[in-house]
Amino acid sequence: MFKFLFRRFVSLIPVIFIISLMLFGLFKSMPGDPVKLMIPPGIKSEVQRQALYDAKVQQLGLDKSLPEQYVRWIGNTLTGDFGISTSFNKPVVEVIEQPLKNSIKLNVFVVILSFMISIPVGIMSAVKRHSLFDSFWQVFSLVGLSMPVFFIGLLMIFTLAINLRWLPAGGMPFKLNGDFINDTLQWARYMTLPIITLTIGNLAGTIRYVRNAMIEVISKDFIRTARSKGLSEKVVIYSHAFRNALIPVVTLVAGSLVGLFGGAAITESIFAWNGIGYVLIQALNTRDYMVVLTMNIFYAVLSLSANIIMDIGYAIVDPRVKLK
Amino acid sequence: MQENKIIRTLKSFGRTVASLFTFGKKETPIFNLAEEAVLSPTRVIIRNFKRNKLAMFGLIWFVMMILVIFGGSALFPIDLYETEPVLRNTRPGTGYIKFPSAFEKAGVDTISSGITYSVALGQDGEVYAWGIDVEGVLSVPKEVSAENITKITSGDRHALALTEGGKVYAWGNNNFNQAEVPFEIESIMQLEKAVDILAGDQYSAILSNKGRLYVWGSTFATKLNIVPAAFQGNIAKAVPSSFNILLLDKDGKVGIMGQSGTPLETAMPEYIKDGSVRLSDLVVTLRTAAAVDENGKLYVWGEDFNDLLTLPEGIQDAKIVELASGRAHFMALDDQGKLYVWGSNKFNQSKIPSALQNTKVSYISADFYQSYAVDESGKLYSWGNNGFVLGSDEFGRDLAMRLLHGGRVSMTVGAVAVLISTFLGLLIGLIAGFYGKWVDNLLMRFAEVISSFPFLPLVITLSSFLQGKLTQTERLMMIMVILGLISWPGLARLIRGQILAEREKDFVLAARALGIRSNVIILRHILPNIINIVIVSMTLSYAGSLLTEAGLSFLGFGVVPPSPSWGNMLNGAQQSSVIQLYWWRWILPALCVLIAALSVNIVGDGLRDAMDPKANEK
Repeated sequence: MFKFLFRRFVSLIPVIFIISLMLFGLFKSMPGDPVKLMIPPGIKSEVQRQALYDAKVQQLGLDKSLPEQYVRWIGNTLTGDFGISTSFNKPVVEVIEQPLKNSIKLNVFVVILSFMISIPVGIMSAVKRHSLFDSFWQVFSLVGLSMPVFFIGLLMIFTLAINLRWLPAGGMPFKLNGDFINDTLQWARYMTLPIITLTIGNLAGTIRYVRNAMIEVISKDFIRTARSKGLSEKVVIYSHAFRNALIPVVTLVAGSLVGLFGGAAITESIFAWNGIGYVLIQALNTRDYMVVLTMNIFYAVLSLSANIIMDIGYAIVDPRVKLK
Repeated sequence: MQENKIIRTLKSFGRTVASLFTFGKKETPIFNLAEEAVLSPTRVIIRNFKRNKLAMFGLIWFVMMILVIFGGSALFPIDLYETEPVLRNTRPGTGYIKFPSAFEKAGVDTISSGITYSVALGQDGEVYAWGIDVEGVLSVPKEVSAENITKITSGDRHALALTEGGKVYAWGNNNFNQAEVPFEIESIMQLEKAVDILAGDQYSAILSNKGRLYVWGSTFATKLNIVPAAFQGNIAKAVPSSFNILLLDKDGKVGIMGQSGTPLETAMPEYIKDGSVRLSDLVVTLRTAAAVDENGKLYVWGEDFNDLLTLPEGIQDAKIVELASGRAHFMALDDQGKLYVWGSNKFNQSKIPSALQNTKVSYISADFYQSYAVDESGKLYSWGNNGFVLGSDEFGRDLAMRLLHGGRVSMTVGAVAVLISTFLGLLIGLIAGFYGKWVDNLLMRFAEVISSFPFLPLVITLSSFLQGKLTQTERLMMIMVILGLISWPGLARLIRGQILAEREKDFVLAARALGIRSNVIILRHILPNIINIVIVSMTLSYAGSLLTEAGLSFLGFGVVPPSPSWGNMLNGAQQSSVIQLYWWRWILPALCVLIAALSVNIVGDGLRDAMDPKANEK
């Protein structure tokens, strides 16, 4: 097990190296001169501007050769120094910290809700194939898969926020006063719509996944054997089929745990939720490249670790899988 | 007998052998019980697919969408840079020029149109209104119906009526209080009497019997409330335009008020200004004016836009008696009853109906993009902008046309992106799967690198770099390439897995033993076995690609205006006012994306089910 983990982590190193090279190259080949943007526009004198420019270039190490710049950047990144956000004039970590927390807050509920709904629904539809219940959820997931996420969000805003005025159309809670009940209610008011939107968006895929996994298992020979032994349908489904169908599902859950930290760019910007996806969009619009670069690295590391977590999850639930 | 039996056996054997070589093409199967086994895999898939009603429906629906979108956008070209700001955000609906027959029967006294409607005064003294309602302008107040109305006029979204006793009523859009006579003007009207009413874009005005003009409403930016002292008290006629009012004083001089420096002011000839020609009628479009003097001679000046300064043939020799003007077209009537129309023809407003070409016309009216004319028998004709079936967007562009052309862009972007990613995925998957070893390892590591970036953030990041000096087409192509370049790893992995399974099969071993070259084995022996999976994956990823483009353009990182795409048409929906007030601007494009993706998904599901060997078990 530990040997496996070690090997996986070692195999990540070249991948991360290539990713960092690619990102570095990408951001170096970008149009525009970020240093020019850093010079305050108030300074009119050309000489003064040039002096400031040169100083900035020297400070950022941009006068050195590209390999030297890369080594300097990767060294800083590895020691936790992600540079300074140009639009906030703060270290990138500080800029990202709060939005990351906000995104996690949202995603915890989304992940819990979508699995609480999709696992029972998926299993029920597989067991009662071609029933009314199954057809309904089949249609639901077909439409859900074809629905742009922002359409769900916009419909939510249109009905629940604008026409019925039950919930705010977007934004972050601001009337927080430290009182637990009040604060919880405030958060709930602002989080409900994004949570519903993201959950519906998630459900379509996960229900399908669970249903297919369950159908796969039900069609296996050992289920037929179990049935022919005269076991009751309940025992067949819950103790034979369900456990085996859980194997692929658990890997899905493991993967989505990592998804907790990723933002949903579209949903967050519809609801003006100050999450990590929203920050990415803002950073791109303001050309705050250090933030964008850091976030891309962050995302890449996240999804690489998702793969490993999935492998581990697989090994835990399926005794046949041996991690070597 | 014996011979016969042998011949029969031989024949039967021959048929069996022949059937082996004409596999799948044989019309009458030999093994009746095993009928299905004789069908080639492709035929089985097609048959299964055809039996799936939902899938067939999805396919027909999708093909119809393609035909409508590509046929329609080829038939009706679009000018990307053309806008009609005054027509912005009009709700879906037609019938702007569909007048009630009761009005035609009553006889036409005056017609005045707003952007989506017309108000009119019949010869019976009744007030009529038709078209699409904006902010209650079609519900004529009860007091107005009760009074004896002598004049009626319409602004862009509001209307004014003048009674015989000089009382002014106003209704409709009241954003700038233009639909309410201000208290101070009302009190002035106790001393002076209103003789004429004017309504322009969000402003209203009264001309009194003392030759004084009073303007209210949205006058701050245009300074329309400042009437030149040289004219105030001597005004005979005032003609409203969007940013200016032309004034004709009792001495025949022409003046201008409102925004300064417009072509209406700068291009005005001296002989018009100083009153050396005695004008009898004066009309104005957005930036062009036309006037006719007492001898019926026509003068036009202003901005040379929409061919407004290009006069129709024969009009210079004719004696013009009446003029009318819309936003971008002029109408003129000569003493013979002949009708002339010129200017913009975008809404067919400058196209004289064939029935009117040979009859005498007795009355003309034009406003915005609508035209009305009455022939000598009293029959009323209307032509021009009849409305937008699906409404208009924030620049007054027809949403139906934008949806059509946006669909073309969205569907093409998605298709090309999928083609690129399928090609790459297939190529890389084939190579990795077949050659194995270090090639496989390298390529799969590479796939891992690409797929380790979350999809949307990476696409957004990449496309935000495109904001350089790219033309619209270049940008579109770059979006396709970006989408294609980063969505191949999934398919490559799938193909690789399939190849690994196929590679071990006996037929590949046999092919190898025969000494067939490996590239031939890949292309001729292995590829046909996995092409089904490729097709299903292409279909399903096409649906995904449609959604991605929509999401990307919605955020402003995909297709950028003025090129329409279903996604960027939704861009405006980031403001809650648009979500609330102009529902057609976001529901319709989003529905288009939904329907397109749904039909593709249904087809993809149907294909996958058709290829599932379990489907053939029955």
